Amino acid sequence: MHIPDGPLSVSAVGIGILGAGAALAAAGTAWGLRRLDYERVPQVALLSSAFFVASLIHVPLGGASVHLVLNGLVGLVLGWAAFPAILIALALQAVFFPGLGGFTTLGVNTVVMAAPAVMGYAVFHRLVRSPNQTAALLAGFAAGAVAVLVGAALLAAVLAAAGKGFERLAQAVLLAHVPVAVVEGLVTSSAVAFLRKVRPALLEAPCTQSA
Amino acid sequence: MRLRRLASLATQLGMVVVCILGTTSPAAAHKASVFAAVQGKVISGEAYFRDGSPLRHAQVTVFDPAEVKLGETKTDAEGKFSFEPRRRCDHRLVVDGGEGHAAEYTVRAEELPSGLSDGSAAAAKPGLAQPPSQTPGAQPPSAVPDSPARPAATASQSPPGITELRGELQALQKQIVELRRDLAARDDRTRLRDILGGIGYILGLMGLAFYFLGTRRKAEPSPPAGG
Repeated sequence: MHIPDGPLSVSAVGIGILGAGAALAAAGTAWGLRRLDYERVPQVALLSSAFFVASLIHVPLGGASVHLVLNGLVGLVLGWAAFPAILIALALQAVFFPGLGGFTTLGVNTVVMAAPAVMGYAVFHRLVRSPNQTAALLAGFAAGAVAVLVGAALLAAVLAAAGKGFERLAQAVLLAHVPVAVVEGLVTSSAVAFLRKVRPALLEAPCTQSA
Repeated sequence: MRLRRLASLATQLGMVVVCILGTTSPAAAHKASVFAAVQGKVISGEAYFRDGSPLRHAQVTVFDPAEVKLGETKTDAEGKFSFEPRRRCDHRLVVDGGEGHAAEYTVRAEELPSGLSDGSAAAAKPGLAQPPSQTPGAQPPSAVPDSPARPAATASQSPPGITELRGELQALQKQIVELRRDLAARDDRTRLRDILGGIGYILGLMGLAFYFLGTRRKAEPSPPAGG
């Protein structure tokens, strides 16, 4: 789900997208940091680490090599703080692993992955805390799957907007993420189950308390 | 007390991370690799996993630069395979070990014996005859400059030395396979180091965030009732 440096920086529209992405990512990060409570800092760091590592572990799936995104889980636990968490992880990936994103696309990539995370949080965080275990697990699955799919859709939209040559690529991106979404849903659901049992307070997401 | 709560919170989250990572086995450690070289008239190669174990009974498909399938073969119990080239063109060998373990290697046209034709239409068999096919007219009008050091050329000049040469080549190929394996292992190690480095950076940033949030708290004498 990482856009590399190259393809967007050739067209005017692409450069516009890069700029808009950077601005949105900066705004989201600032908003997330403003609401960041002292006690949430380790959570942000840990989920940022998880996100950082997840993109590096490639699992063979039906011939293609895919990796988890975990943005749904990051969103569920962190809320708006998903923005700084994902931004930091993406920046480090760009430093350490050339080929996984890039610096000019850092903003766009952050928005593509963090915006669905926040969205998933807004839609599902109440359900995840519901007393009904089944509903909570289903909400966890949905949050994980939807975050990936929306992210893929955003990515496809960005690619399609950037130039005529990217339409086929955009379609391929969407298709490739369908199995990832299923796996991601399962992982997020089991993480939710674990957190509910061990530390339900984590799913409280205090960012909403002030809002 | 607050610190202890934070610490336990951090451990819990660490456990979650470990659980998540535990469910997805690192596939990189089980990546397949393939290496091949021309020996005499055949392309022989070896397919193996990065940990050194051979890729047994795997399908090897051979393509030319235009993605036309030239043929296929299978690896034996030791992961070795051989393929007889019919044309003098780049041979792309794709090994499929199943479960997404695919690897490929390209044998370049220059490495192939010069006796082969480079036209696709001329499917004339090079013949399974003895190695020194000394028909001077068999040299194709290839644009590739003919290097005198090519084994085939040397071999045809001194037939008695050919077995010796072949043995040497085999030893060399073995060494190359070993080298490539070492290189892959080294790659994996660097990767792990980078991952740990990245996590270290994130923890460092966490410390930094604590520092700044801490100074902010000090500035405000009445801390908000936590939680």
